[in-house]
Order: sequence, then structure tokens, then C-alpha cells
Amino acid sequence: MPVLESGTAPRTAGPGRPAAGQLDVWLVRRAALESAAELLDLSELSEPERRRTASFVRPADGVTYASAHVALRRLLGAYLGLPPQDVPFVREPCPGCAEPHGRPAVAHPDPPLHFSLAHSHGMAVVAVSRTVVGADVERLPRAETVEVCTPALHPGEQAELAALGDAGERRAAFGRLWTRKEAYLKALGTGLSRDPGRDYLGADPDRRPAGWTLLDLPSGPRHNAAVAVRGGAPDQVTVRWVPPTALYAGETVDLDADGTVGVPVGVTTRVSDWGA
Amino acid sequence: MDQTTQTWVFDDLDDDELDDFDYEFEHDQIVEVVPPSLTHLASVGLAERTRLIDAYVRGELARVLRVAPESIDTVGRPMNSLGIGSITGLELQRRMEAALRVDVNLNRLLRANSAAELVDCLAGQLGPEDSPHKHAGRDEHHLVAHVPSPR
Repeated sequence: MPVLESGTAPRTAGPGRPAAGQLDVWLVRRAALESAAELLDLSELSEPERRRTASFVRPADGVTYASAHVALRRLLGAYLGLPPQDVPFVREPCPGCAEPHGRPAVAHPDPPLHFSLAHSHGMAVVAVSRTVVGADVERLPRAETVEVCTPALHPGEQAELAALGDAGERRAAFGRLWTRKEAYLKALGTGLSRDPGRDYLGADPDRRPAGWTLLDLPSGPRHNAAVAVRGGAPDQVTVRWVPPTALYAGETVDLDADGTVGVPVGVTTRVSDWGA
Repeated sequence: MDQTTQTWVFDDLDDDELDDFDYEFEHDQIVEVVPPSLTHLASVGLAERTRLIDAYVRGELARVLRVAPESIDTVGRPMNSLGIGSITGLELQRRMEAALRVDVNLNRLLRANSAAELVDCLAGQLGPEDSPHKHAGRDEHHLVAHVPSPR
């Protein structure tokens, strides 16, 4: 049970979303570097979030971080019926040591939703669901990175990678299984304090951890992304882009957006269509 | 994965938006790293050992982050502000463990307040065999643990 943060708590569950059985996935591109400082609205971020934004060595990483957190606050604010700056975040107790560095959550004695945020190299993913959820996105790893890191994986995952003849296929397969693995470990709340070699998150859905559903997300040629949700497959999964302009000052995220000019709508699909 | 879905979502990005993604990958640098000799590390004083390990860790960070070693700030930034994520953290852990014959705790590595914290832990573990700073065994409590030499 998350600990209530002092001060603010959600007034209500807002418009009652997401619906039971619904998994909403929002893809976010970072704001353009040349206009981010002018257009991106950091006023809704907390002081620690603003400090983190300024702390990155690569300016592009800072813009990705800020874009992801503005999107997260505006999205959760829309779901919860709260101003973005009032969304009360808390860290759940770590399942390993009970210290408050477990899953990030909305501070509420009975959270009306669960969420997970991930960002990497210009792209972010926000997953929102009634059930526990974990998300990850990663830049496609180099062949050398795959070679160095593969021995740390589950033996079944290592065997799958070894069976692929082509280094390009191994990079893609490693990226897919790693994002499933991290999404799963984030949903568990352990993160990488749990040995990455312990669980199988390879290509065979039947061998993956029981009680969880793993979905590979559309992520383009440069990234891999995945979501883990507790329980069986959601009835419906919706994947949408957050319009870049929705991160600007004075704008909001419209949960019902079905297409602004020039902005991709995304896709609504049944999980049975995904084959993930 | 439904390929139609994958193509559809990304095909709706225009050229400028895809160029913006490409920017993230245009400045990659290839960095070669030569690890220091363990015998030499154990034979020098703490200050020199720290200097050698700092140069080595800076090199490994630059290699996994694909940036110039001189651009790495080892003092004032946590690992994630340097750009270290889960995969690059795992790569860093495995490269350092192989080169320095130590155990590095991945979770603590990712949470380290700075690269200097890592360098200081390594410098404590890579001193003479009778150093009081050494502790063995992979656990949650230590960022770096010594791997005893086989007798």
C-alpha cells in the first residue's frame, strides 16, 4: 500500500479511467532541441524534476527527461481530474528491503490507476492501467554491447540469441527481450536488484513468468519498447502518440484525441492481434 | 507483434520528426579502453591508484555512452544524468568485473551518486591484499566487492 504523501491527494478518480481491462500506452517524442527551452512547460514539474532536467550531460537527454515528465503529469492529471502539478507521486516500498524506492505510484490509499514511465534517447513511454504495469524503452543496443551483456541473461534467453546467425537479428532480439525484462522487473517493483538472469523473458510467451502479460510495443527502427501487466491479457490496448504541442505551455493532453491535423492518432487493437 | 501496427504508428511521423530521432545517434564516438594492471594497482599508493582507476572508469563510461572521455563528469552527477541506463549499466558492470576481477552490484551502480563514488570503492578493493577496506562476496550492501585470488 503506498504511503500517503502529506498535503495533496487525488480528489476523485476523475473520469473513471482507464476502464477495467483497458491498457493505455502513450508514446512521447522529446521536444525539438532548438525550441524546447522556449516552448516546453517546466512550471508543472516539481523542484527535484527541474533539477534532474538540468543535470544531464547531454542536453538532448534533459529535453527527453523533461518531455517525458511533462507528458506524465499532464496524462495522469487528465486521468485523475487533477492539475498536472498536483499529481501526488510516491515511491512504494521496495519488495526486497521495504525502503521507499519501489515502484513509482500515485499517492492514494487505493490508487485508481497504475502507471509506468520509461524514456531513452528521444522517446518515452507512459503505460496506464487499472492493474500493476511496468514499461521500458531502450535504444537499440550495439552488437558489442549484446556480446558483453548476453552472459548475464537467463540461459533460455542466451540460447535463443546464440541460435540467431546474424548480429543484426541478435541486436533486435536482445533489445526486445531486455525491454520485456525491465518492464517486468519494474512492474514487480524490484528493478535490477533482482538478477537479470533469473527470469525468462525471451521469445516464447509460454515460458515467461506466470501471472503476467508481456507486450512488445511499436517503437520504430531505433528503439525497443515493451509493457508488462499483471494478470491475463488486457481486453483492449490503445497505443497513441502524445502530440508534441501537448507538452507546450498552456496546452493539455486530451485523452479522447482522435486525431489533430498532422498528428498520428495511434491504434486501438485487441491483444489477440499482437502476438506478443 | 503486429507489423501493421508497428509500421502504421511510425509511418505517420514526418521527415523532420524522424530527423529529430536520428540526431540522437549522429554523435556516437568509438572509444578504446586499456584496463590498468592489477599488480600495478596493488603496488601503488591510494592517490595514484585512485588516479589510474578514475582514468579507467572514465574510459569505460565513455565507451558505453559513446562520448569523449574528457566529457565525462565523474564528480557532480549521478549515473543516470551521465546517460547510464539499464543496458549501458549492465555493460559497464560486466566490463569492469572482467577487467578488474571484482564483483560490482548492478543496482547500486545504477543508483550511485557519482562516478567518483564508484572509483573510490574500486580503489579500496584493488589495494594490497592486506587492505582493511576489502570485503568479499556479492551482496546488496556493497557497490564493489573483492574477488579473492584462488589459492
